[in-house]
Amino acid sequence: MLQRYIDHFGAWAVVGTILLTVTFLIAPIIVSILMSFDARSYLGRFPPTEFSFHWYARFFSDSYYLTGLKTSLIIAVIAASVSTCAGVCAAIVLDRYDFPGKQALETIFLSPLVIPAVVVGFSLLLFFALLGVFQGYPRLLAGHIIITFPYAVRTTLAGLTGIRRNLTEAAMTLGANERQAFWDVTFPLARTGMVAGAVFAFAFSMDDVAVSLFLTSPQTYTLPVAMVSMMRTNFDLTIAAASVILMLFTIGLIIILDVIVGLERVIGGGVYRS
Amino acid sequence: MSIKFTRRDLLKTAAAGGTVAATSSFPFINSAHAAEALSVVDWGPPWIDHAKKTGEAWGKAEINWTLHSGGAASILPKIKAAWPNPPYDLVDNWSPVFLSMVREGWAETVTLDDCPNLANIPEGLITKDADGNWKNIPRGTAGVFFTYAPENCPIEIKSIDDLLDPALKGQILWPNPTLNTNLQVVALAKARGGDEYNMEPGWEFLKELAASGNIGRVSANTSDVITSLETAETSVTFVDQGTLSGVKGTELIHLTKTDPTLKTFVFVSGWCVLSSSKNKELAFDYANFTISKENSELYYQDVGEVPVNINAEHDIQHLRFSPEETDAYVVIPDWDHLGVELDNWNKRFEKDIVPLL
Amino acid sequence: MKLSRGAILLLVPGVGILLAFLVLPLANVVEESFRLFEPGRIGAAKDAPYTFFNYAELINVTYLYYFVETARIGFIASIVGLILGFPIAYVIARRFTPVWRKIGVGFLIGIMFLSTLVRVYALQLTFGPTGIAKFLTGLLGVSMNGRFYTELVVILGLLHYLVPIAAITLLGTIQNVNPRLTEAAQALGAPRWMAHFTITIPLCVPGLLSAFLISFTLCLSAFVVPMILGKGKVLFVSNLIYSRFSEIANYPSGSAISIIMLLLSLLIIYGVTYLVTTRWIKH
Repeated sequence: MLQRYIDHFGAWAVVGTILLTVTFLIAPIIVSILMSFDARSYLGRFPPTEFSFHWYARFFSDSYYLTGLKTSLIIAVIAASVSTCAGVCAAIVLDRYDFPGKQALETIFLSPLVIPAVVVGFSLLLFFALLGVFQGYPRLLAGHIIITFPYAVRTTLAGLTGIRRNLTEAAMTLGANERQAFWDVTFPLARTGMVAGAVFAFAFSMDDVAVSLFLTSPQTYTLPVAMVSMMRTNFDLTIAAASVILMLFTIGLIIILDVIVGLERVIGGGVYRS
Repeated sequence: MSIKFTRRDLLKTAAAGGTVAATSSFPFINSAHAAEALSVVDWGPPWIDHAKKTGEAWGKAEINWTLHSGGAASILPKIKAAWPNPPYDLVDNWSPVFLSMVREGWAETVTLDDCPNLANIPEGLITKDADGNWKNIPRGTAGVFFTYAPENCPIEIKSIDDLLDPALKGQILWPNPTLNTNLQVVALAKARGGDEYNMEPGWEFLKELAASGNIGRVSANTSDVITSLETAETSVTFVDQGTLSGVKGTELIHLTKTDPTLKTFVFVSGWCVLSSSKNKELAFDYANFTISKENSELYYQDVGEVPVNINAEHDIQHLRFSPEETDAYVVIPDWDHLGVELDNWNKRFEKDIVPLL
Repeated sequence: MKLSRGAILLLVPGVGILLAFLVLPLANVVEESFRLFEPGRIGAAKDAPYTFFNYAELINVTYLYYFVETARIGFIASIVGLILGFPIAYVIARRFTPVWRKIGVGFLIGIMFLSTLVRVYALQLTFGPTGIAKFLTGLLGVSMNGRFYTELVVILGLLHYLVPIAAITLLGTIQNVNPRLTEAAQALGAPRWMAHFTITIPLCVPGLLSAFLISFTLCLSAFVVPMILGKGKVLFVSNLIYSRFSEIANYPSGSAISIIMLLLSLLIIYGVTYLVTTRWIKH
């Protein structure tokens, strides 16, 4: 009986925690959506008393944001593709092979995560100056590839580590050779981590501020950089409107992802389904 | 060794590139603005809104705007790194920075021929070099002072020691040292018998203030000030007149003539044409346009600083000082000294103050 | 397996990217960190003498404070992120119907996709003075501008992206744990919570570790969250470095802080990985 109570109590505590967490994740988004329709001309208290579209009008009359969005997209797509390819290759080697210094290599691969992005941005700026490269695109791309690369390695590795190696070994005892075992067993299972890695890379590229801040040029700047400079000079609700537009765009992206890859496969089915 | 030199030069240029790029201009692409477009540096709102308005009314050339990020002195390293080709023609700045620019030889000499409207500006306000040449085009004068919002502030502030009142918990918005070139700590030092050369009493005061828990936020830019005061997050701060014009919907009492411990630091703001500019004529013409009687009045209305054009009308009572009041409340600090000490003061703030907040 | 020639080829792109975009640029920063800085300059002079001053200056208890604060707040946020993320991942992986799984996964990805700026702006509106700050601080009995609440909001800011990241990372791991094992334990009489604590969670250790490492490293290099939500009172090492670079143009000092930060972070991450692998993986 007691055990049953504990189980019940535990279950409810878990459900409660989940609901609270989800509320915490959603509530700020709802607040900023409502605030973006605030009719007041200054930043007033929530909730708004009257609604209007004037912050949106301001957003769309400002090509500054729109140019930034376009640049962000181009950079994110290229950077995520490059770092996913390189990251998956590296993760497979790290997972499947044993060699001296493996641990150290893994740590080094993940190191761009640990280095404050501010440092990555600044060091790249100096480096590209040394090479005589001053255009925005190559510099931003380099910065975004290096900061998204560890996500690709990490998530692929996490997916692969979850696969018990004896599955591959079982496949091999059943007659598959190493390469077949890889393509038939490891690869489909690793796809989970891989696609998740690509998704991560894209999201973090779209998200970056600290690295991009150093690497933009007046013609080539990302949306977050545009938003930071607006926040530093004029913290108004146009940013809320910009946020809502970005959210719509995010939802669109997820739908596209679902249609092309399938959300199930983004995260992967895993070995054991419920 | 020659390779080494090239590398270091590149580093300097690159470093400027990064910081400049953050504010959306770039030293390496000079051709982009060399033609008929003027490159002007100004502060964020309310300045930039006013500047764009006058720019359109002037209409003789396209203007590319760059915003100061953080303190206005942060433009200096960007100019220095890109010298002799900084990507700016005209810079809006204030007293401490004018002196640095003159000392570095970046400020172009201006004459009545260049800017006829200077005839209506008291000569004493114009920054001069050692030979007496005019080096800037003053537009406004204003103060940096303490202010508070009575509807949100739990107590009435009568002297600087009231800042330590326990009732003010979390109510003070304290500017970090890069804002106002740290005049806020000079103000504290003055209240305790020090000044900009003897800052220890000021730092001691600030330590007490930080430890008291009264500092609710440290502002790093004008947007912080405006947002924090507008949303009633904080209710007391030390701020310049122009930034206050951006605060809407919150009534403020300016403590310029309240108590001799609450000082007002008076400065001049205006234009400086860079001697490297390839568009000097246009730059002078635009600057001249902005200090006409009408535009000076508009400047007063938009930005809230006292226009220096003697014909321009204004009504800013809290910045009108009689000679006796000037003696009691007004301070004109050694701007040069402030600029030199800034790096140390910033570190001092990080070391001694932030851990107490 | 032993390292084959093909495997070495697979490592080439990754190593190339790291060398070109990280190692060489960082070597530059190391050099800069030993240069003497004169106030009023931008960076070090081109013939500036070499010095240890930039490092010596940092050996100061109050600078240690920034490193400790960054690690402490990051650690709290990462652990809480795991605790909150795990049940979500578990429920999505094991309890949801396919349709709900899809919605759940879509939701997590959506939250994760959100730009940090959108996030901090939304949190600032919600937990700041325009939002529920007054109500919440009243409930907790703390001051809205006090240290506690400011830190809490910074941690919430970090959690808002750590939770979905932890959940997504754990989703894959949980799906690869055989549910028959817990069922077997329960059939043998173990209560459900014990079955989870003794079977599910230990089997998830590699995933948990990986989620923790992602979270913690994200926290250590967090920049925008403390910049916007920290009110200038909660500063991470990143913010310190940024002010060295952008506000006072003291690059040698900024470089020195960066190098120390880098070494410490690598030490922490490497240490955690080493400890956990020797503890769990070996037996």
